[in-house]
Order: sequence, then structure tokens, then C-alpha cells
Amino acid sequence: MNAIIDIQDLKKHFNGNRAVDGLSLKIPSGRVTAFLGPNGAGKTTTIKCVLNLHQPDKGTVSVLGSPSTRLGPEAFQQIGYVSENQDLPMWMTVSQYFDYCRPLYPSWDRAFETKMHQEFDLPQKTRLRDLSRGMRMKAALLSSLVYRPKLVVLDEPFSGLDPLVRDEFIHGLLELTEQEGWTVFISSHDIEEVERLADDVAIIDRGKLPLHETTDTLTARFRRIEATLPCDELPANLPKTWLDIQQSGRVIRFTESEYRASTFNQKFESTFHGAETPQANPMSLREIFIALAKTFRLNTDLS
Amino acid sequence: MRTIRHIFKKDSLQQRGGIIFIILLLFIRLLSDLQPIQDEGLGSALFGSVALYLLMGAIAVLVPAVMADPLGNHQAFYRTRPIRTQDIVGAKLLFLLVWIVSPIVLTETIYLSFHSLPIGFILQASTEKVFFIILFGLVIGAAATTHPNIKTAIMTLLAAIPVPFVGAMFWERISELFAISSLSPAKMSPTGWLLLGSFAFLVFAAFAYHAAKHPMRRIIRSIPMILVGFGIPLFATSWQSALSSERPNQPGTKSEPKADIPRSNLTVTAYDHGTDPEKIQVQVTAQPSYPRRAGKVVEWTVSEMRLNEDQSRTRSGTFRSPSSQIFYRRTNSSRRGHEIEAIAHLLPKQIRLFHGSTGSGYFQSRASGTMSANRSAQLIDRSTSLTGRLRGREFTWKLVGELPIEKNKTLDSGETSWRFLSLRQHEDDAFAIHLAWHRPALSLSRRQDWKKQGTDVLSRHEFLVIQEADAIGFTPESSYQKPGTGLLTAFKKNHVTLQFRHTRSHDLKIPRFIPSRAKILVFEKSYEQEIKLSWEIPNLQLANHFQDRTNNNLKPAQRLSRHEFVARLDALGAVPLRQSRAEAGRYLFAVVKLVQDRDEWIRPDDPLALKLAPLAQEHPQMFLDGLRNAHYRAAQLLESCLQQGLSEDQKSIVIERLTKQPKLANLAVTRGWFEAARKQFQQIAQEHSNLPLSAVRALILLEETSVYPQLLADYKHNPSLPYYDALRTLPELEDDLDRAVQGLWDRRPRVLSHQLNQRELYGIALRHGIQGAIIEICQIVSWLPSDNYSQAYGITRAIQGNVDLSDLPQHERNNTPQVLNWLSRQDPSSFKYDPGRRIFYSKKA
Repeated sequence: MNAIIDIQDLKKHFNGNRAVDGLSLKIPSGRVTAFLGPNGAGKTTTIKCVLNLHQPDKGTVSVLGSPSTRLGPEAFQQIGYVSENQDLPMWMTVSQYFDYCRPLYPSWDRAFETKMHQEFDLPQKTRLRDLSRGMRMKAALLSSLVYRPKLVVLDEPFSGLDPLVRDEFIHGLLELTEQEGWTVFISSHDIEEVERLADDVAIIDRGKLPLHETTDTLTARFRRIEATLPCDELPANLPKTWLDIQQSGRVIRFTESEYRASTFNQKFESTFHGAETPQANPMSLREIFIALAKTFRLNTDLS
Repeated sequence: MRTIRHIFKKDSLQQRGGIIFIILLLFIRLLSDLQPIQDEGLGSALFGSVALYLLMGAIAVLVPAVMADPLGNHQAFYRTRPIRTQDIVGAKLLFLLVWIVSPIVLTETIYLSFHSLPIGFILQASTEKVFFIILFGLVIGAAATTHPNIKTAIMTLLAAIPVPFVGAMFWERISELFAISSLSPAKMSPTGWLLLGSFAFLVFAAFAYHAAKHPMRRIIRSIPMILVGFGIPLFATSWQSALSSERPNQPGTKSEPKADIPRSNLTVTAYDHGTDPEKIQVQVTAQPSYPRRAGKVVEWTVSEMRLNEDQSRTRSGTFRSPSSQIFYRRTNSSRRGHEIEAIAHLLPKQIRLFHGSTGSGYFQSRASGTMSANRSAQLIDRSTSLTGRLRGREFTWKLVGELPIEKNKTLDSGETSWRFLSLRQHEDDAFAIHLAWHRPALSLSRRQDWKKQGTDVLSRHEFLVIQEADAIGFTPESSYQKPGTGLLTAFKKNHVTLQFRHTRSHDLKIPRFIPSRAKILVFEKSYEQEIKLSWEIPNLQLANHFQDRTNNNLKPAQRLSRHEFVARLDALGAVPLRQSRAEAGRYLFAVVKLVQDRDEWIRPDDPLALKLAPLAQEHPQMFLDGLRNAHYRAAQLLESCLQQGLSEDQKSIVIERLTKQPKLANLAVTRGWFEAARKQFQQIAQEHSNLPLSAVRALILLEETSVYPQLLADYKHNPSLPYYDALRTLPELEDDLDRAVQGLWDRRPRVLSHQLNQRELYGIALRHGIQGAIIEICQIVSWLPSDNYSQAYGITRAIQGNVDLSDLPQHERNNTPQVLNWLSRQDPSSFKYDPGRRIFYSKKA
């Protein structure tokens, strides 16, 4: 599998704070990768190192086969970047803005642009500073997509958007990624937004990458287990794959991170003799992320 | 390159408002530079503020353009777009070059080309200007791009720029206000008020703008601030203009009217007629200095012909160039062996002078020559000077030359050369001429040196624009330096502008000025004739301003008050010792004018004379030269200063000049140098007539009996009482004096007209025993009503000392009515003369 972004042992700190601490990540081409993590985990820093907005302190980052530190106009003609932190020329109208961006990209698709303008319903004569936040993000997104980039990097694109706009945004993005087969690298702290988009999930926590796998795999192996025990004492050695264990009397709830339908019940029986048959419920990505996040925090604190 | 252009277009689009503002300012500045007439007041203030606003505008445009794509900012839009850093830098440089550097250079190039400056010079001068503008832009841009908050700092700095200027204005005005008694806010210059108003506008408008979110509200709130911001300077300027019209003239303000004269080459030749010793033939010949235009000939009129300053015998005639005419002059005595000076004044009849709102004058050229009696001789000393009269005052300047009104035509006077640059006509009654001066002998490097020299050049020269064919001339209303800014500094440092503006009056129609028919005459102020043109010529016109006030024509109300005199003297400052002669001359000139206006005799022991004495010692030639042409109060001042100031070592300077300036005899006598000047005094007696009294006294002191006959002969023609008093001390001349006085008595009508008054003549006649005098006196007294006796004071004075009044009690001998009463009772024939006592006595007594 080709990696369009290849990060090896990336480290970046700011004034002694380790924002990224030895992160290694490969983003496969042609897939949507969700880069998840809580606030301050290092998502934006990682993305900025990828786009050469920050210089890594250690490690290497390559984008589109070139080191990130040597990204030039030719590379950026194949990269689309949308971020809430990016400065836009707010004094421009929408049409002026697109007129400004258009000549920079040889692969700019005017027909596609026109179509997307209609779909997104962007007011052409309005200045960017006078648009709502959602409209502004649409304009930014559109300006980063109409030249059909190979790589789309979205850093917290849904931040501050209302649900309706967010839904439109995601819907539009879904259509495009399915049609165009672009590589999308999207970061967010809101799991539910990217659940529908992501093919792959990478979770970053405190500058480290504890998890990176496909969404299908992730959702397949995680189950939320709930059972009633014969007694309210828990055995000492519980399986390490059981996460976020919560007990309320004789009722136990936990997350099984390596669930197999064929073997789980047997495994459960052997641990809790006489327990009722547990209920294994699929988990959303958000629930998986929370369980993992808790586990990561616990492990970090213990270490 | 395409990306650079693309970004440049984006920046231009964003800053289009500011760019238009800069171009507009440059256009206004160009118009200002090309403007022929500079108005005082708000117009001038606005133009003067353009440079400041230009600077502010450039910063206000450049900073946002740079901040649109700040280098080093990871959030900048271009960082994740196919735009290189080099493209950004190139685009900003292109913006700086196209919208700031190029317009400035272009407007200045237009101006220089307008004045026919070669392209090579423009390019050369532009290099330095471009360098500094780019450096300025780089500094501003670097400051703007290095920190995201620098934009705020820059904009705050913009608003604060006028503050030091306003502060300096205030401080200057406050200093002036304390120096005078009345306080007036209108003392601030229009520029200062404009800057203050603009600063207020910036601050208030900024607050109003940011306080409102909606654009319309921003505008609505800003407009009152704009009106207030500009209303204040407009109001203040109008107020100041109204007050300035009431302001009295400050001391030392240059307000002399000017008069200029066209030149002519004049030859004066005097011939002794031969057959009639009392007739002298004078021939005046002029070379044509003005080409004929359409057959028109300039006519000249001789206004006066003087011989020996006897103005009672003048002839005038019409002189047509290039021909000559002969004038006859009758003398009143034979003067064989004496020099005769013939002076002919030629007056162009038709040239009228216009200056300011009204005014007319005339021009006359003057040449003088000398010849000796008994032989004819060509003019041995010809000089050309020009005198004019305007509003009752006379001035004389030396013509440097004529400067044609054609671009780049030059006039070289040796010391200063002139080049014509441009003429701008503004309606029919106003035009301005732009000249450049050059002094090859000087090497000036600093701007203040150029400015100082420019002031000196202007003050030393006078200008006249003359349309000879139309017989009209114009003098400038004002003249000033106009140093340039920026690129124009190097070019305009030696430029001066002459403004001609005439207001039509109801009784004087001013003819139209036509540049193609005019030319510029350039004059240098100098002494008449004697002083050679040199760098040391003081900028004085002592001779021109010395009016003959021997009769003290000034009325008491016309004289300067003591208080004002002292105040103006103090305002002149310290005596410029160890300064250039020009500085000393200017100072002395100002003092002399004040003394004349004061009409007070400055004696040698006067504090003013003592104060100027060191100056006289430092510049004795200047004082002596001025004394030659000075009259009355001015002469008294100069002589007093010389008396106090000259050292013994400088005695020879005075003695050398005695024969040429017999008036210096008083100085030589007072200082006790007459013995050393014996030879010169002898020469004076031989060569001069109408000897100064001091020379007579000196000769008497020297006991030069050989010259006594000359003295007596001179007295006959100058029978003043002081002269008589000096001669009567010579016992050798007693008998001759008797005869001379008899001669005076015989021709007393002519003598009494200007030589002696009646009282003095009666006194002299009585002393010398002329019977007719006592008879006339008695007759006069008999005609006088007795109640008018007190008015006949003069007769009493004539009698006292010359008539025996021993019949009267002592206390009545000074009482006019008593004396005349006594006289009226005497028989005129009863009076006899006692030659021993030289008094008349009544035989009855």
C-alpha cells in the first residue's frame, strides 16, 4: 500500500512542552484517514509539520514522496488544506477569492467549481468576512478541492459549525471522496463527524499514537459488554483486552477490545463462573475512542 | 514572475483606495510646484502639508500590503498554496516600486523636464531618491512583517506623526507670544492649525470608525469628526488672515518701493565755448541700447542739467536716440582752472512703473563726466547707474544686465550669474518668474549654506520686467527662495521666484503684460560710481535714501518717537563686529534709516555713536564712502561714528580722501589731523569751490595765508554766516571782507534766496558799516505796528552786537519790543559807523 504521508518518529516541542513525541504514522493513499485525539493531543502540530508549517525537531515526514521541508509550489498544487486557523483574505468577495486562487492551480476545474458553487450556494458578491463561519468554511473547502488535489488535509474543519451545516459539509465531502478517490487526512476531536467519513482511524494522545487501524477492524473488535455476575467480587486477573471496566453491584460493564463472537462467551464463562450470558453490543467510534482514551490516560498515569 | 504579478494585482486591488490617495497627493504636489503664484494662508498651508500626508499615505498603503502575506507567519494564506516566499517578496517589492517609487519619481521627472533639465541629470538624481524610498519601504515592510501586531503599532504611529510637528508649532508660537504683549491664538501658522486639525481628525475618526460595526454608521460617525478636524484650521486660518491685515509693520520689514531703469550708453561731453567764458556747451550722446521695434523710437528727456549743483539754472530738451543734441548752460562766473562737472539726466518719458496695487514712477539713467575749463575734453569718467523714483523716493542701482525671457538664457555678471527658467502667467495681472542663480566663486555643500546664499543673492539684487515697446515696467511684489524637496532639492537649491501681482485700482489701468515683448533687467545694489563691484560691496543704498533735509522738512508728527526709535534700534540686535562688510553695511543702513526718521542729531558723544564707533574702525572705507553721499542727519551720524571710532593709524585714510571729499575736513579738524593734512587742504582750496566750512576753518587754523584769496572768492559765492564768521577772524582779510560784504549787499535779492536769511545779512552788513542796512531796518521797524514788535525777533538779533544800545537799560537790551521801540524813535540818518568797534551808533546818543 502506498503511503501518501509517511511520518517516522516525529518529535516537536514548544517551550519544553512535547506536542508530538515520537509519532510514526503512514497515511495510505486513496483513503480517508481520521486523525482523532482530544484537545492538545498534537493533531494540529502533526498536520503543520506535515505541511511544513512547522519544522520537526526530530524525525522525518514525507508527503507525496518528498520531504515535507521541501514542499514547493508543485507539491502544493496537489495538496488541499483547510483549517480553522488559516488566514483567509477576508477583504475579498467570494468571487474575488476564487479568482485569486484559480491561476495558482493548473488543474483547476472551472466546471467543477461552478457546480460546487451551486451546490454549496455560496454568495459570490459577499466578502469573506461577511460570511457566516459555515459559509466561510465551505468557501475554503471548495477552494481547496476544485483543483482535484491528490491529498486533502482538513484540520478541525467542523469546529463551530452547526449540525445542519456540518451535515451538508460531510455529505458533500463523502460524495467527492467516493467519486474522486482522494486521500483525505482529517483531524477532529469530534468522532461522530468523521465516523461516516473515515476509512482509517489514527488516535493521538499526548503526542503519541497508540492506535491506527481501519474503521471496520476497529468497530469489529470492540464491543460493549454488560453482564450480571453471580457475586459482586471481581477476580484479580482480568483479561487485558477488557477496557473501561465498570461495576455496579453484580452488574459489570466493560469494553472488549478483541471481541470474537465465537470465543467470547467461553472466555467470559471461564472468567466469571456462573455468570449470565453477557450482552455484547457494537460500539460507535466515539464510544471506542472514549474507552481507549480512558485506557491511554490510565496507562500513562501508571507509567 | 506570473505569480509575482498575480500577487501584485491582488495587493493593488486591496489597496486601491490608498493608491488613489497617494497619486492624488502627488498630483497636488506637482500642481503646487508648477504653480506660478503662491498664495499665503490656507492654500500654502495645504500645499505644505502634502509632503507629510504623502509620507503617511505611503506607510498606510505599504503596511497593509505587506501584512496581507506576512513572512514567517505559519497561518498566512500563501503558506499552504503554491506560492513561494520569493514570490511574496517580489510582489511586495513590485508594489513598492510601482505605486510609491514610480509615481514620486514620475511627478518629479515631469517637473524637471518642464524646466528643460536634461534626462541624464534626472536619471542621476533619481538614483539616490529611489534608493532611499526603497530603503524606507524595506524598513517599514520588515517591521510590518515580523510581528502580527506591528500593524497596530504602525497605524498608531501614523496617528502620532503630527504630534511633534504640532508641538514644535505650539512651542514656537508660545515663545513668540511671550515676546509680545497681546495674546492671539491666530499667531499659529496655517500649517500648524491644519496639522492639529488633522491629528484631531485621525484620532476621533479612528474612535468613531472602530466603535461602529456597520459601514454606514462608521461613515456617519466619522463625518462630524472630519468636519471638526478640517473646520478648525479653516476657521483659524481665516481669523489669522483677518488679523494679519491689521498687523503693523515690523521693524526691518522690507517695504521699500523699487524703481528700475533701462540702461543707456551715455556720453557727456562739455566744451568750453571759447568766445564766451561764461558759456559752456554740453553735448549728450547716447548709443542706442534698445533696438527699434516697428520703427518706434524711445524718447528721452533731459530732466535737469546741473553745474556745480546750482539747480537754479537747468535746461531740458528732447533727446532722440541715436542722435544727440546740444544744450547750453550759462555759468555765473568764470572758473578758469576749476573743474566743472556736468551731469546730464536722461529720462525716458513713456515708461511707467507698476508695483503692487498702484504706483507709478519713472526711470532715468545717469552719466557724469568731468572736464577742465579752457579746454574741451571727452568724458573721462563714465559710469552708468540707474535711478528711479517711486512714490516720492529715489533709488539708485547698478544695472547688471538684461536677461531675455527665454528658457535657459543666462546673464553673467561675474559674481553672480542668472539663468531664466520659466515664466507663468496667471491671468492678466499676475505672473511669476523662476530664475536660477549661480556663484562660481563659492563652493557650497550644505543646504543651509545654499539657503543663506540664496537670501543674500535676493537681498543684493533687484529686478524689473520691462516691455520697452509698450513703455511699461513691472517690479516684483515679492521674491523668495523656493527650495525643493526630495529629488528637487539638488535642483532647486539655487532657485528664486519673483512674483508679480497687481491689483487694479480705479484710477490706474494696468496694461497687459506680454511675455514675448518683455525682458528682465537685473540690478545690483551698490554705491554710486565710486565703489567697484566686488564681493565686499555692502548691500546699501545710503545715497538713495539720503534725502536732502537741510531745511528739516520733516514735521514733528512725521518723526519717529524716541521710544519707537530706541525700540527699533534694539530690535536690530548687536553691532556686527568682525562680520562681513555686507553684514556691517546692512546693519549700518538700517541704523541710518532710523536716525533719518528720528531726525535727530547724533553727536559724537551720543551712545549710538559710541556704539557704532568700533564698526567705523572696522570698516572705515564704508563709512567714508557713505559720508560722501550723505546729507544732514545721516552725515552727522556717520561723522560722529568716525570721530569716535577711527584710530590714529587710520588717519592716513582720511587724509588721502580729503581732496576728493572736502567734507572730511571737519573730521580731520576735530581729530586734530589738519596739520598732517596741510598739503591736502591747500589742494582743496586750490581745486574746489564751495568749500565746506570745516575746510575753511582748517585752512585758517593752518594759517595758510596763500589760500586766503581763494577763501574770500569762495565766500562770495557761499556767503553763509558761519563762513563769514570764520573769515572775519582773519585780520588780513578785513578790508577784502568789507568789499565782499558790500558786494553781497548789492546783490542781496539773489543771496537772500538760499544763502542767507535776512537777519543774517543785516547783521553782517551792519558789522561792515553798510549804511543802507541800518536805514532799511529803521524803515521796516517804522512800518511794523507796535503790537507786532515781538514778531520781529530776527531784526533784534541783527541789531544786537552791531548797534550801540547803551541808551537802553541793560535788562531791556534783549527785549524785542523795547529795542524796536527805541529804534523807531531814532532818525535813520543819525546812525554812524564806528570802524574801530564795528558797530553803528546814534549820533544823538
